[in-house]
Amino acid sequence: MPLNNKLKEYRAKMNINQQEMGQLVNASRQTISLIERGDYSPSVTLAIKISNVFGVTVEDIFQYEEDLENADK
Amino acid sequence: MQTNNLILETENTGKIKENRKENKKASKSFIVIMIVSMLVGGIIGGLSTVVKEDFLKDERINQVIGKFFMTVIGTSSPFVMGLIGIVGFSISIHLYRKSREQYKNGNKEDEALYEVIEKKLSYAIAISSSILVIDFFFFEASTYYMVHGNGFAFIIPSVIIFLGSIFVLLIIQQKIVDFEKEMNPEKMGSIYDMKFQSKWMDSCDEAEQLITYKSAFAAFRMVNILCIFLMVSLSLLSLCFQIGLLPAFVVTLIWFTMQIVYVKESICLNNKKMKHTS
Repeated sequence: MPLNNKLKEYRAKMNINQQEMGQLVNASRQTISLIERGDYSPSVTLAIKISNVFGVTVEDIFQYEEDLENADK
Repeated sequence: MQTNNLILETENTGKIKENRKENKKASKSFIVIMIVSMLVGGIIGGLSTVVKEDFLKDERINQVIGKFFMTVIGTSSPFVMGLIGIVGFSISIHLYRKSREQYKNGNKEDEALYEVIEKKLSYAIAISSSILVIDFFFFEASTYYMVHGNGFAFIIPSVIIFLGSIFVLLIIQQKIVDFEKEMNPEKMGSIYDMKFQSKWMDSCDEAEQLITYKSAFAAFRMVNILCIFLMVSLSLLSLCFQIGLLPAFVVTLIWFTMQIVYVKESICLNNKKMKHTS
């Protein structure tokens, strides 16, 4: 099931590029790019680290498509 | 407790029925494939015997064919190695230089830039690695020709070109790896280090490791298919030509090693505590 994310939006708000984002969460620029494109779902650890960078919850950044559909209903 | 056991038993029975249904469905096409394969194999085997009895009856024909291929490949080895090296390495170097240029002049905030560069560098590595594999074959052909075909004249240029190829390959790969490390500072390892592969892998994060694992599995599956194809082909060829048992033995060794290492690693990983790198 695809995982939607708002990582790019949050990153833009903080004005940091993918390389810098990667350094903050100990991941590569490539991984950040894959996550933003929706081509890779991060591990729990990485998702928590990413959300901690922005001071938000994991659910604020990552959402299951199913959960979004249920919310719309 | 009794209720739970009953639920489990019901689920198991359901699963068993599902398995039987799935096996029955898949086995129909499997049986057809097996029958067709046996028929085709039987026909080709029969034809091979006819070819052997009618066209290759005279053992000298076998020798002539063998000598022909040995001579053609042996004499052309230095030229082929040289040509492949010049063309292949030129392309790799061009891709590397283009990438360098793009990185230097491009907007480093542009994420698409990195994707384009990574792709070019991947192609450069793939081409240069492929050249090495091909060169190994032709070098082996040269040494074989030297020993069995009196092709002493071709061995020296073959050695020079082979060693030259290795040297150029190392330089290209070193440049590419260093460039990757510039773009991705978390990457570790020098290509001259015997432990380069494990150091590089350790410095990759979860997504990069997953890409490597998936690629390795795709290669594993392809080699499995290739081994089956080779064994069948070698069996048929041995009916017509005196190829000996060594080719089949080598394929068996490779195939067996792959299976054992795969199973062994699976068992070890199942017993270990799995953890992500990040």
